[in-house]
Amino acid sequence: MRKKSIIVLLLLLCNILNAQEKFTISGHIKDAATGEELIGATIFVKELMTGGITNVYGFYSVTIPAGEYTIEYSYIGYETQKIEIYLNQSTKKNVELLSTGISLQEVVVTAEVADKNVKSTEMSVVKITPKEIKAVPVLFGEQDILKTLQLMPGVKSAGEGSSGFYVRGGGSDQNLILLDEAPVYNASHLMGFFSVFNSDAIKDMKLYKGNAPAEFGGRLSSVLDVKMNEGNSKRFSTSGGIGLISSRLTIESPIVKNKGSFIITGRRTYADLLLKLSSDESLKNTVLYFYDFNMKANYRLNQNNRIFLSGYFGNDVLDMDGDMGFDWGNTTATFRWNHLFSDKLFLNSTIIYSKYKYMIGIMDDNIYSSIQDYNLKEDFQYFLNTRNTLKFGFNSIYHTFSPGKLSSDVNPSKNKEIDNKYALENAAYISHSFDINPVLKINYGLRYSMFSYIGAGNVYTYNDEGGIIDTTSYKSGELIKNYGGFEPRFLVNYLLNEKSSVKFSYTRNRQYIHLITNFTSSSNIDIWQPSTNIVEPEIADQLALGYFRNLKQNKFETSVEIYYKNLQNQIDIKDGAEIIMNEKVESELVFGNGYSYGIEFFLRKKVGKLTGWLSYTWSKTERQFDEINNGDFFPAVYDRTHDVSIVGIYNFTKRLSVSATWVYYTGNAVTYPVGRYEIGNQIVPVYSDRNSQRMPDYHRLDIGLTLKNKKKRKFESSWNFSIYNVYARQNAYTISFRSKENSPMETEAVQMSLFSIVPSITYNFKF
Amino acid sequence: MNTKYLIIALMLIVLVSCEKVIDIDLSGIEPKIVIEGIITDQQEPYIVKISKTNDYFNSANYPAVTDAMVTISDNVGNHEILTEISDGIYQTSLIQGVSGRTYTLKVIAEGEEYIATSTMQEAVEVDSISYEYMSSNIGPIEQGYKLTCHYDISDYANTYCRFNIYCNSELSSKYYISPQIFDFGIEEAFAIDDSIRIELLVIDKPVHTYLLMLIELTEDKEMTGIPANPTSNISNNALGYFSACTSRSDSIVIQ
Repeated sequence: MRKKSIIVLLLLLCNILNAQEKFTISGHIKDAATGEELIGATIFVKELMTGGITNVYGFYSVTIPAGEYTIEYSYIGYETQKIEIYLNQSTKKNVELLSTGISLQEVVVTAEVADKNVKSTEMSVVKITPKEIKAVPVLFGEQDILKTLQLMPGVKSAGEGSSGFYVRGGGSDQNLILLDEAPVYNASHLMGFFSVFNSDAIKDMKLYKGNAPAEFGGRLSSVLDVKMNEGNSKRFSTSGGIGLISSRLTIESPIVKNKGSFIITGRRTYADLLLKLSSDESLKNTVLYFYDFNMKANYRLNQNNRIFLSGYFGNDVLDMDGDMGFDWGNTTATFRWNHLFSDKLFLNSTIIYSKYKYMIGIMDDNIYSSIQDYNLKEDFQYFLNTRNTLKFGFNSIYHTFSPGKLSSDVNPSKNKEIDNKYALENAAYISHSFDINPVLKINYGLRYSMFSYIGAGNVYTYNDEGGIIDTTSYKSGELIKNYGGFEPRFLVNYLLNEKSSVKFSYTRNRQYIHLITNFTSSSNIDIWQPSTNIVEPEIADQLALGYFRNLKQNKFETSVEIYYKNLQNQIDIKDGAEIIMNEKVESELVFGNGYSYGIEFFLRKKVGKLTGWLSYTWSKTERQFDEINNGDFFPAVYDRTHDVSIVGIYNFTKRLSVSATWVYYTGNAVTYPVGRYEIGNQIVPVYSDRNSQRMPDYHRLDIGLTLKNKKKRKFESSWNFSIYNVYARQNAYTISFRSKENSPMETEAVQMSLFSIVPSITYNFKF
Repeated sequence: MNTKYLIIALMLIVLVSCEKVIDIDLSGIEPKIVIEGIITDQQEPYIVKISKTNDYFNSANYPAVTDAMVTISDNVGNHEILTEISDGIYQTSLIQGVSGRTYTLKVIAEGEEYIATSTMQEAVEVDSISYEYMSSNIGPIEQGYKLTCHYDISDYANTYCRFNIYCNSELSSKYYISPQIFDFGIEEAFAIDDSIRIELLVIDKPVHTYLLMLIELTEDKEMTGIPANPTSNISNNALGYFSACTSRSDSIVIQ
């Protein structure tokens, strides 16, 4: 009896639920002027106090009961658009929003958009828009997303002028850098002073500091997801800039108006032209430049199908009077197909190619090395209703590692090639974003990743002294070693009130490929190493707790986050190891553990005449290897106790704005000599424990001024003036020790600084 | 093959750099013991030197460690206590190095005990020495006659060589160890009439690692890699090394 009544009750309930039929309103949100899809734009159903946001392809889908609604479409920097709709069937609604133009100051602040900081199920995330990047003053006036990123809490610069970065105590190879979903293995140009990202080609970027959702994986510390511009689908336009050491040009145009568009962006530096002025013969004959191109095209086949093709090609060239040469560069290509199965189920299929290669030439010898990936991704997004969204999919990557090939023009007997290594990296994931009730939201997911190290190749086993004791040969495609494991992700957001929330997250990441380098700064001489019978996958577990609060009607965003990260199977190279052209490189590695914890404070003002942010990070990062430092924990090189960034942008008028940036951080941990002794006939220094000493603290102020010229018809132009290191602080780049010139037995410490005060000027145009 | 020079050169070109001498407080460490001992398969005596470290900015002499108890033994039962012939210099009189044997050095000084072992490898003969005139200054190599030492090793991967270069009977203070790949080219430049003797020592892997790190420390001072004290094969945190090695040599006069 009882059972029956329950069933009846259930049926009744279902009836009630079904009584009100539900319909879906979906479509794309775009920029009215250029037709660019807007990522993360908000859809808000006023009557229901609910809504959704657009995905990375500008697509949204909201399922609500039939009825009459006022729907607001909004996006920061754009005018909010309201539409009245009577929903009695599923409806497609594409919306174009008008940019408020010049600056963020006129943005109508709508609570629904601006409180995302507090309400979203995201934490440990950094977002910077191209508008902000353009406003921040930088070295040589070259706007750069990676350098702007370094001004955010938890993100540390790899050094003076460097585009390299460290996230929450992770190494630089633990950042997954994606350009239109293609991994970029080395994101630096010109020894790290530029990044590969031309900010004219960038539409959107987002950095996950170690707790990326389940669709991302493969690196421990962070995911930097960069999306390229799609090109103006309304009209042909050209823009560009002329700077002191580089110039750039962008052309964009519709392929078929409102259906497809393309964009091509190119950049070339000419730093070496200045060297031609030098009186030194060898400097005169030095070649040093880079160029890169970003290309993207998209075409909408019909309402439900859209294809994208995007690519990047960059190359750095250095040649010193024919004696030494160094070439390096990345190539990526991405083909994507967006398909809507229904107004609720979205599929993105992606095929990716990525390659990083370099060649070093010294006299008649050349060393060549590369890493190359083919990658297939299937990502489904299912918009169940306004409270539930499911994401699931899989990813397959085929890696080819070419560690080194030496060829000699004059002495063929020197020729040597280290065997390629091959691997297959697979992952499948599912994640669920669930608004349990108006104050409690969760996002949880599970990723399973698998790594197969495969032939052809010779696999060595080593004795304790690094000698080969056994060699096994494997045929092409034959499995050598398999690794795999679950990577759970979990995030909960609890709204304390309309203005504040508490968020907590736990994430596990696995990393199967490792960068082997014996340079502390980015050098471009990178050797990527797969996980093998000897090298195990790296694992990181991160816990983060945050408090988020907005002030003064969301004019100010603030947050405090605490994190703790535990790292396993970290890799370092043995003291004195040779890694270039060494087939036994695995025997030169040591494996250990690490941890990092810290607290990050962030205050940001997004609207008004004055915008900008203030960020402060306190952190501690240590590593432990049995073979180093007697097995004791020691600080990582980039362990920075304090890290402060202050960024301010002030718009005096629509045409004139000024900006300033001040940074301060604790010097790197270094190893100094603390004594001397004599061996053979040589004087040898005795070094302190690993990284037990500190470089001097670093600080610097930059200022910038942007003056927009009066718009003439369609021609817009602006001047940008900037001064790097205004008070000419001599920050230590390296500290070295040498014998005194007039007393060779005595030693002195020498500090080298890179940039004193550097003014620059750039002219930008668009028509 | 040294890519480091390239990087240094690059930095010099690219950067508007500026150097200045600074004061750093390098808090002095407790003096540490330094032991250097070599035993070969050539005629004895063999020498063991024991001294101590100094503060980094102190250019005074390095104190010798006297009255230490120094013994060398092998794995077939030979054993000898060394005699101190001058301050900190200890010498053998009986024991003879033989390829294939493992030697143990034991030092008791100032109440502490230090032990090291090293295995004497199979000898490698020097086939010949050749020279060639280099006319221009390229990278780190000076203008002058450049030597190449030719020898034949069957097991490249597991044979480690060290070279002592004597120019007119004077030992070069530079350390040379083989890169394990090619015939060995000496980076120094020599002149006409120089009489050169090259001594080829076959060392074991721990000594090779030690010397490799020592070379990095003494020759690549400007490098950005993390410096570390060479991994010694002597116990108890002593600095220095103990090497049992075979020795063969050949001579040439540049004409």
